[in-house]
Amino acid sequence: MNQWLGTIGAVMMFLYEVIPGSWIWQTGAPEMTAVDDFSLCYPVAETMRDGRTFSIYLPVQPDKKQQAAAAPYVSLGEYEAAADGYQIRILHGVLETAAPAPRFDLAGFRQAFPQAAGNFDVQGEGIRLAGNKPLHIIEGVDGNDRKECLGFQAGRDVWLFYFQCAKDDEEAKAAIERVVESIAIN
Amino acid sequence: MKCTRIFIFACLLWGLACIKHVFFPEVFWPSSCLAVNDTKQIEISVPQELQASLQEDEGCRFWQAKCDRFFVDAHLQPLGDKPVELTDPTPPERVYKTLARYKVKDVVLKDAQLIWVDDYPVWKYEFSGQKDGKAYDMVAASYLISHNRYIVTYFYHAGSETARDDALRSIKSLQDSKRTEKVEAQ
Repeated sequence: MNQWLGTIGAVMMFLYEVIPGSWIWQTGAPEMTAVDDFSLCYPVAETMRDGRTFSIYLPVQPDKKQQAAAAPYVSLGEYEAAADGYQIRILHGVLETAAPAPRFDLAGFRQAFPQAAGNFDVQGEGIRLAGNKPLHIIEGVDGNDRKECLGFQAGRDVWLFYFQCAKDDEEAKAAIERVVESIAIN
Repeated sequence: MKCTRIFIFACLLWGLACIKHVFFPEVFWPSSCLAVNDTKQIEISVPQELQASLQEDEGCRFWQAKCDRFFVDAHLQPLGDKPVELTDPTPPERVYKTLARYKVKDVVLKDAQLIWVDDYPVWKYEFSGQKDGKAYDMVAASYLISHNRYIVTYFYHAGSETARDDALRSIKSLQDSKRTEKVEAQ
């Protein structure tokens, strides 16, 4: 009997030493779940010509550039964000008047983003909602890369987006999806 | 007889561990090293070890950890030789920037208090805000240690007293200790 108690005591002391406290002392269900997304992001916000604010959250600090305006735009700004695994480019063009509407087709996106040229094999084209705004979308693959172009017009303001990541990089795809989901116009 | 003593000793050990867990849960938290110089290192205890990011956020190194009750972010902001007004209760701009990095909107400062931790002055700020449509509370601690500002921010679901208690315990756990070979979270 005594020998048994000794053995049990020795095992208890061994477990006390080797088991991390957090394995045993965890009490209650975790309050932070997968739904609580805490990815660090950089807010970009611009006031549009109609007074509303466009905002988007990018996963890395973007470089902001002012490009030389080219027809049909009277001003053209660009945000570029790149990190391991993905590339994001955003163009903000301002039209002289609300018409003519720009082309949100492959030719239009190729004109805006040279990266959308090449062997871009379009796999889907249509409209998706983000920030309660219908966005024109074209997505496809180019070799090992997945490319996605989106665009919308709000009065004189035109926003064009280009996303690129490796086809099998689920983490980068999720990061890009979070960016698209964060688009808001208030 | 000897075996009985071993068993009783093991039971005492586990009993004390249980008591420690109930009254001092932070005893079981791993400590993460935020900075190290030739002789000293700055350590803080959090339920999960802080993971250093490979990126920098506007010149600041930062660490993150998602724990059961809260998410924690630590930013190291080098201040250089800039004088810092210790009596000013206004949260530093970096605190608000960190909240914005995690998409926290409608931020309201509820409390600002100067406390002392391990002989260092620490401003403790409590905020409420909205993130992804949910209400969160935040506790941020701003430590001034040798030309650096360490801002540790805890995000938890609004109203969670246990998460707030854990955050306050973690804030008070900061200490500088003699440099050891253990240099985690670098």
